[in-house]
Amino acid sequence: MQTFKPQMPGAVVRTLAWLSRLPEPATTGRFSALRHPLFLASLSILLVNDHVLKGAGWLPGVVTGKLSDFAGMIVAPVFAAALLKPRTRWGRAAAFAAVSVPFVAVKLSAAAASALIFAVSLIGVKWRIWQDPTDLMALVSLVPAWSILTHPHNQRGVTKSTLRSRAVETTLAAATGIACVATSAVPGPGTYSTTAYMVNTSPESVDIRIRWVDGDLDCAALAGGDPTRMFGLNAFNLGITFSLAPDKTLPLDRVSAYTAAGLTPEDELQTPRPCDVVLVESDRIPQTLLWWSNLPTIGIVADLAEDPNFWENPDIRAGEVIVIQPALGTRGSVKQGPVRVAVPASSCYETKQDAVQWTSPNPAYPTVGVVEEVQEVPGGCLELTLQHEDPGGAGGGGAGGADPGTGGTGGAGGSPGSGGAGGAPGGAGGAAGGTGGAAGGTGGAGGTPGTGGGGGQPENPDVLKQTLYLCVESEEFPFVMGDKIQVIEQGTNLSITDFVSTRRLELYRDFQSISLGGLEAQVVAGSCEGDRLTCGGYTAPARLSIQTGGKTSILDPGDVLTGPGFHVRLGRAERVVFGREVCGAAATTPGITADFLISWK
Amino acid sequence: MKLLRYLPFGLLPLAAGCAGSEALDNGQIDTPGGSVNVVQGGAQDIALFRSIVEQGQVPTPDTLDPVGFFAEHAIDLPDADCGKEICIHPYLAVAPRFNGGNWTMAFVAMNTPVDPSELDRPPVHMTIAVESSTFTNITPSMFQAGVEGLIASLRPEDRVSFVVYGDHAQRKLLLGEPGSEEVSNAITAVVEDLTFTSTNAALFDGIAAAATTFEDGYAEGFVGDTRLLLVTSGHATIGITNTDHILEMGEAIVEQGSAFGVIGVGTQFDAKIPSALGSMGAGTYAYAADSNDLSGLLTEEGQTTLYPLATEFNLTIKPSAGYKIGRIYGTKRAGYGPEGAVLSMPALFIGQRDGASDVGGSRRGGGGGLFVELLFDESSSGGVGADAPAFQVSADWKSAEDGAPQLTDLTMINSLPPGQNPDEMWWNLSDGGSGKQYMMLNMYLALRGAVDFYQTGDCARALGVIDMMQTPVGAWLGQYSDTDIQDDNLLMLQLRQNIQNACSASQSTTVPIEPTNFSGGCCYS
Repeated sequence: MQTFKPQMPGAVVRTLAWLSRLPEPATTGRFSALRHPLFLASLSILLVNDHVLKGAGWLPGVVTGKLSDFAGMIVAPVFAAALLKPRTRWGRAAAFAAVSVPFVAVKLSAAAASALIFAVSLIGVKWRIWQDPTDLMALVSLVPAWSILTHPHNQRGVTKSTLRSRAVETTLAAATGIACVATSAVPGPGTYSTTAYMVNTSPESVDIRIRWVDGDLDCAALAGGDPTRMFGLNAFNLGITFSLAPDKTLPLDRVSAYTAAGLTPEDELQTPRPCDVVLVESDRIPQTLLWWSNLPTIGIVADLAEDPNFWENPDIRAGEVIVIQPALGTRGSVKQGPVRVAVPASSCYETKQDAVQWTSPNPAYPTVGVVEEVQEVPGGCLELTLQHEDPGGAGGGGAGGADPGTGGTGGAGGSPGSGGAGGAPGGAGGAAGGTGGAAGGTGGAGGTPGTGGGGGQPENPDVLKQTLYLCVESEEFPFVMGDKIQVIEQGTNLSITDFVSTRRLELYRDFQSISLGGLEAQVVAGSCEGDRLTCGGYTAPARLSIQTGGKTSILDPGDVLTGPGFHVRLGRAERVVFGREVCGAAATTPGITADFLISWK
Repeated sequence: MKLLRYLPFGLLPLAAGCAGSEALDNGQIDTPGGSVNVVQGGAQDIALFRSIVEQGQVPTPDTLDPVGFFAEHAIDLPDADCGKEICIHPYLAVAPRFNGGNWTMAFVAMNTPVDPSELDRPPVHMTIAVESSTFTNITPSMFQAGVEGLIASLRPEDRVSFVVYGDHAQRKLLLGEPGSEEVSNAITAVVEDLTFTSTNAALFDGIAAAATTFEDGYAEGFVGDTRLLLVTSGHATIGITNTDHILEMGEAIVEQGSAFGVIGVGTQFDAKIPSALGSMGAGTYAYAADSNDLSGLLTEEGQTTLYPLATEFNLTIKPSAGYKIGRIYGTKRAGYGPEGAVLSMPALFIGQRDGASDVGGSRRGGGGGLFVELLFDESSSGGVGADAPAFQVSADWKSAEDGAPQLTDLTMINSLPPGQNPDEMWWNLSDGGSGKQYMMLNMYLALRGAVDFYQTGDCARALGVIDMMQTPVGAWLGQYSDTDIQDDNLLMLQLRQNIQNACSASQSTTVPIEPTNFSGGCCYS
C-alpha cells in the first residue's frame, strides 16, 4: 500500500525562511506588513494545512478546520489592509471589517454562505464554506493581526523602501493572494456546492426523481413539526429525474441540482434556502420525503472515484443521503419519512378563525366624522356610516390669459383668466397670459392673471358621507349614533377614538405584536397540529399571549379577554408553515400573524 | 345597506336556462321546439381552462368547472309535454368500467314548456361594478363597446348604475336612463378610471357599493328587479379580503332577490371567489379570455333575461333495492340526504337570450343536469333481478306564477340486474339514445383526472388517463357525429401535449400508465 506523508513544498519553506531572515526593513512599502514574522508564520500554516493536512487523515477535520480559520484571520485582514493601503486607524479598521464581517456572516447564515459562493463563482472561482459558528473563535486572531499593522516599521514616514524590498513584497503579496484563493478552492473539477446530497451506494444505476417543495417554508416550524403531515403530493414541483450510477453523487440543493441537470432553475428556485424538503420518487424505492435545516454548504465530488477519502470525511456527513435499494438511508442531519397521501384533520380543525378586517377610509375624506348609522350586515360585519363636516371648496384657479401676441407687431396679451368654478379645493389665481409671438417681433404682454373662483358648494351631499365596513361584533363597537369620532388607518391598524370620552377601538390585522396602554400582546405558536390546504399549503392555529397588570393570558382564536375597562378578542391567529402563491394572499408567505381587536369603553 | 333589515332572509339562488336556439348552432342535436332546458346557474363555460390549455400550459383542477363544462354541451331532451311547468327526465346508463367493473349512472335533466319570450319582464335596475386594478388588463375601448352593447339591449324603463373599484369603490352613476347623456358621460368616466388603474382591488367594497345602489334606487322610487354584474379579476387585496366575508355579502344580495352575474377578467384571474359567487346560481358566470371576449360577454349579458319559474324546488334521487348512492356530479348544490341524493334550489329561473352566439373560444350549449352514481349494494340486492327499479326521482316545487304546489315522481327501470354489465362492451342506455350526456361526463372525468394526476406530479397517469379515453371516444364518435364531443377530445389531446411537454422539460417519465381505477365507464367495441 502506498503511503502519503505530509510534506511542505520545499520552495515555499525556503522562500519563507529567506524572507524571515532578511534584515528588518526600514520601509513603508504598501506590502511591508507581509514580511512580518507572524504574518509569514500564519501564511505558512495556511498553506501547509490546506494543501497537505486537510484530507490526509492525520488530524481530525475539526483541527484542520480551526487551523485554517485562525491563520486565515491573520493573513486575510492584514493582506486586505495592505491592498487598500489605509492612511488612518479607521481605514485599517475598515479593512479588517471587510474581511471579518463576511466571515461572521457566512459562518452564521447559510444564505450568506451560498450568496458568497455564488458571487465568487461569477469570477470562475469555486469555493466551499464550512459553516460552523464555533469557527468564530478565530476572531481572536484579529488582535495579533492588528499588532502587525501597528508595528513601528509599518508606520508612515520612516524611510523609503528599496527597490529590492519592494520587489520582494510585491511578489509576496501576489503569492498571498493566490494562496488565499487557493485555500478555499474546491479541489478539481466534478464537484458542486450543496447542503444535502445523495450518493448511490447500490451496485446498480437507479432513476431517481427529485421534486422540490413548491412554495416558501417556515424553517423553524419545519424543524419542530412533522413534515410527513405537512406535505402532500401537490406540494411539490415536477422536479427532475436523474439517472444515478453507482458511486455517483447528486446535489439536493435546487440550484446545484438544476445546474447538474443542465437546466436553468426557475427564478423562484434561485434564492438560497436555509431549509428544504424534497420528495424522492423511483420505481425501485418507495416515495420518500427528505428534509433538512441549517446545514453547512459543502463541496461534494460528483464521482466518489475522485475522492478516495470521501467516506472518511466527517465534515460532509451531515447532508448525506445514501441510496441503498430498496430504500434511502440517512446518517447525518437529513431526515426522512414516508409520503402520506391524506392525513386526518387536526384536533383543532374546528377552531373558528374569524378575520378582523375593515374597508379602508378614503384618504380624500376628513378623518373626523359623526356616526350617522351603524348596522349589522351579513358575514359578521358592521356598516358604519359617517357624516363628515363640509369644509366647502374654495374657488378654482382662474385660467390664464389666452392669445399670445403675433410675431412682428406683437399682439396684445390674452384676456384675463376667468375664475374657476367653486367646489374643488381653492385654486390659485389665473396663470400669466399668452406667450410672446413668433420670431420677428415682440410678443404681446401676457394676459392679466385671472381671479380665483369663489368658494364652492358641495357638488353632491353624498360626497361627505362615507360608509365603512368593519368585520367586528356589534357589541364590541363602542360608539353610537351621534358620536364624533376620529378614524385613522395606519398600515394594518385601524384606530377609532371618541372626541369626548375615553372610548376607543383598535383593530389589528396581520399583526405579530403590539404594546399599547399597559397591554402587551404577542402572537405565539400554538400546540395544535396544522392542516393541509387544498392549494398544497399548510397552516396551523396560533395563539395570542397578552400581558397586562403583571398577568399573562393566552387566547385561542375566538377567545375574549375582558379586563378593567378593556376588551380583547382574538379573531384569527395562524401560522403559515408552508405558503404558496396559489393559496392566495392569506397563505402565500410563511409567518405567524393574528387579527384581533381591543376596545376601551 | 338598509334593505337587509327589511327583506326576509331566504335562499334565492336561481337556475338559468339558455335558449334551445343555441343548441341549433352548436351541433347536430337539436333541442325540441317549444322546450327550454332548465339548468342551474353558474359557470356557462370553461373559458379559463380552455385559454390556459391554448397557451400551452396545464391548468389547475379548480379551473375545470363541471357546471361550466356541461353547460358547453347541447343535450337532447324529449319535449316538455308533462303538463307541468317543469318536466323531469331521468336516464340510466350501465357500462363496464375501465377495469371491468360495473358502472351504473343515473342522469336527471329538466326542461320546461314555458316560452320565456312570451313572459312579461319588469323593469331592471342593473348595476355594473367593474374593477380598475392592474390585475384586470381591461382594454378600455373594448369595455366601452361591450357596455354600450349591453345598455343598448336594455329597455327604456330599465335603469343602470355604475361602480368602479380599485383602492376604493366609487359610484359613478345611479339610476341612469339607457341612451341618456348622463349614461354616456358615466361610461366615459368609468373608462377613464380603467385607464388609471390602481394596484389594489377592494372587491368587498365594490360589491357593497353595488348593493347600496339598489338600496338608493328603491329609495328614489325605482320599482322593478335588480341585477348586479360584477367584472372582476377575482383578487381581493385591500380592505376586507376574507373570502367568507365577501361571499356572505354576495349571498346577502342574492337573498334579497337580486340577480348576480360575474365576468372574470385578466391573465392573473383568480377563479376562487368569482366561481363561488357564480355558483350561487343567481346568474351567469363566465371568464373573458381577452378584451374581445369581454365585449361579447357584456353585450350578451344585456341580451339575457331571467324569469322565475319555480320556488322551493327540491329533487331527490332515491336508490332502489340493490343500489346505493356513489358520487354526484354536475351541480355544486347537490348533496347526500337520508334517502339519497338531494338537490334543493330556493328558486329556478329560465333565461332567454335575444340572439345566439358563442363568445370567444367557448361554446354555449345550455346542457347539464345531475349525475348520480349508483353502486351495487349486495346487502339489499336479494331477489332483485333484471327489469327492476334502479332509482326513483321525485321533485316538488311551487309555481312562481301562483304559488301552487307541484309534485313529480318517476321510477327508472334497469333492464339488467344490479351490478351486472351488458354482454357487449357497449353501454346499456335506458332511452336507447346516443348516450351523449354520459360521454360528456366521461370526457369531464378524463380531463379532471389528467389535471389531478398532473397536480400531484404523476405525469405517467396524467397521460395515461387521456390515452385510455381514446378508445371509447373513438368508438362513440364512430357511431355519432357530435361537434361538442369532438371539441372535447381536441381539447383533451391539446392538454395531453401540454402535459407531455411539461413533463419532458422536467425530465420526468412520459411513459403513460393507464389508471384503470378511473371513475368513468363507457363503450369499447
